[in-house]
Amino acid sequence: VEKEFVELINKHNAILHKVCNIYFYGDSNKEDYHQEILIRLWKSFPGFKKQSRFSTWMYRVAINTAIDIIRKLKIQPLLTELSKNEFDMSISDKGGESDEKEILYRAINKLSDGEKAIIMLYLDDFSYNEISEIVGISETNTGVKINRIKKQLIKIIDEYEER
Amino acid sequence: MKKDDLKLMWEHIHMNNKDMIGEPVNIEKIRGLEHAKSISRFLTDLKVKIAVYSTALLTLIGILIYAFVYLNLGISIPMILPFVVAGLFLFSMVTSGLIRLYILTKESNKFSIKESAIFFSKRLKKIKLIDFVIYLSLCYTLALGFAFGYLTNFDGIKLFFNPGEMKILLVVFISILLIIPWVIKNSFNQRYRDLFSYLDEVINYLKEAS
Repeated sequence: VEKEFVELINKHNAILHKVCNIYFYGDSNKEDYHQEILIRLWKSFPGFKKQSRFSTWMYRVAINTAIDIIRKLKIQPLLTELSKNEFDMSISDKGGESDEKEILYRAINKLSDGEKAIIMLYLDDFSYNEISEIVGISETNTGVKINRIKKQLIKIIDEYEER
Repeated sequence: MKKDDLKLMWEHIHMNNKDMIGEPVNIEKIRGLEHAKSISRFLTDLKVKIAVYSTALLTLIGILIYAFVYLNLGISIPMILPFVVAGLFLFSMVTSGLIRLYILTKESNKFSIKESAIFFSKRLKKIKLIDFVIYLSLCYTLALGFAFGYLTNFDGIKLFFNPGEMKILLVVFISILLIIPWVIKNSFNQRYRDLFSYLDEVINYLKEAS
């Protein structure tokens, strides 16, 4: 089991980094939350019944854990070392750093946690069916939401580029 | 690259990006762990607090039992009241600590994101209700304790208040009893507001019809 888990996680390691970057971008505890998600994946692995792709299962557990960590931070704010305002300031302090990654992650960071999950799965080429399964909404609703989020993201990116 | 081609942009920033590949997973590092460092540290702190308050509460109960049962000390109700207040305070600290611990360790990975948020919200509402009932019981016990204490010393009170003032005192007391649930409810709404508004935001967004 261990060997299979390590192989699968190493193969899909990027998912972990993407989820951490989407939900905890610029957070000083990001590495710690990365480890928390990994622990949760390991503990949940016996429940993976191979009815879906491993990446689908991994995304579901990882996003649920990330949102769960955010809920924990709402209960116990001391867990977080950087508040939202401090985080925004730390980004603007960087000034000239305006590469694609920075701009895209900063734009995604402006979205709600539900929107983040949907757009991340869409950008990672998941089908509407898989997205609706992970998020828990209908396929039609998924399509509508993706279009809205894309428009919203492009608008935010435009605003960043105009600055 | 076109700025509106988000997929291409996403693919481009993750392609051959060393940050995104990271180190291979070391199973030895995580196998025995329940949580990551910061979360584990916080949970340990919370458990220590619960243990300290529980020990203090048990010690207090032990002392009271020793004083009344073994030593058979005849202490008046008003003299016991400070101990009762201390006991109630410790009890409320223990229960709120346990509730926090329960919320912080609850996991719901097997569900979809929407179901997980709904599941957590339902649990939280139950916890809030239990918390409310505990606090309400404690406050009423305390209020009744005070009332009992004054009634046992009724002659003493009569020296300080005339019958008219006694009526006002009674009205004030009853008003306080009626206000208590409202005060607790409001303080609880404040305590859970951030978490509920966050959960509602996620749930409402995902529930929203297309």
